[in-house]
Amino acid sequence: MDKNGSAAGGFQAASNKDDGLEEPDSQKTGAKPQPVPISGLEGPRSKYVKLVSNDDHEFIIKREVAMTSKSLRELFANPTVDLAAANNTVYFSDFQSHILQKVCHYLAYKTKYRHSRVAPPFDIPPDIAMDLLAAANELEC
Amino acid sequence: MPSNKVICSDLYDCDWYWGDLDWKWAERLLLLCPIGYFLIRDSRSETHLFTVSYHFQDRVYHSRLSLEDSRRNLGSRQPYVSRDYWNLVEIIERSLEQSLTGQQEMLHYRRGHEAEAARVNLTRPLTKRELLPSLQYLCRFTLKTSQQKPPTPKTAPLPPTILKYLSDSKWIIPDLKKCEEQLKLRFCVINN
Repeated sequence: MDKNGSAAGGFQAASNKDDGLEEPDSQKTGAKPQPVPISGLEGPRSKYVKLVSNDDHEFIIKREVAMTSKSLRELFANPTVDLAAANNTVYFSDFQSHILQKVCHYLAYKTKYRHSRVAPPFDIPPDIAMDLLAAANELEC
Repeated sequence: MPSNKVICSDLYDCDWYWGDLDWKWAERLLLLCPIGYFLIRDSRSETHLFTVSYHFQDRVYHSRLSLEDSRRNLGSRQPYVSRDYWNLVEIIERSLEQSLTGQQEMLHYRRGHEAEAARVNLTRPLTKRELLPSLQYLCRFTLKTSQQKPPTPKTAPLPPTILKYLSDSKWIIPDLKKCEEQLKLRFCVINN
């Protein structure tokens, strides 16, 4: 993690799955939990953007990493009031978390090695290649 | 070949193999690279299977790779005889190693000129991977080279654009304009 709390690859994934931690008191008492504000997500020129899969996994990646995707670049280049109000969050109704995670890995990989002469192979498991191709086609990356 | 190379069991797995890339694009890409860069592509000659295209003396030359029964050579006037290298990839890599160490001359071709021999130092392969091809390309490549039957997508039926993309016969070659952009980005400091 860097000092801003982002993972080394340029993104961090937040899951809604049970991670074994005790629930906060607000949940025990039935009160609706407040979303934890993440610094760097607010505003039209935020450092980070959030991508959400159809199974509600959240991937917070650097804006510059997201810009590797042509579709995301067009979306975030001229941010609307709605997008900024939604804390720069994009929902993908067609992509499951394991696909969106791999997309985020690729975007970070391409950003990291853009100016490098040596890039390690980017491995794609054959069993997800077809779904990943559909996602890559939609995101134009 | 560079010492850190990985011997590939299959030609498709070799990052320096560019398939049916035409000579114009081979020259266009290699001229953006430092001298000594090379790639292997399919030969248009009926008597040869492959061509090595390489950047040498500020030009791009093409050397045909002969794969006859007992003669294995890289366009050399003195083809070496070897029955130890039956694997196609090993034949190519052995030939490239011989060029790298200066053990043999290469006959090189420029369009419209006679073939001439020269000692050529091939220093580094131009690999597809280092040009950071698109995720779409990598997925298609995985699907084409995978031994297992492609799975049915869990998402909606594939749109015609994807089906067309998957059926492209030149699936080995990434988007060449993007490759060109990437090379300009990478080597612009060297070339300027």
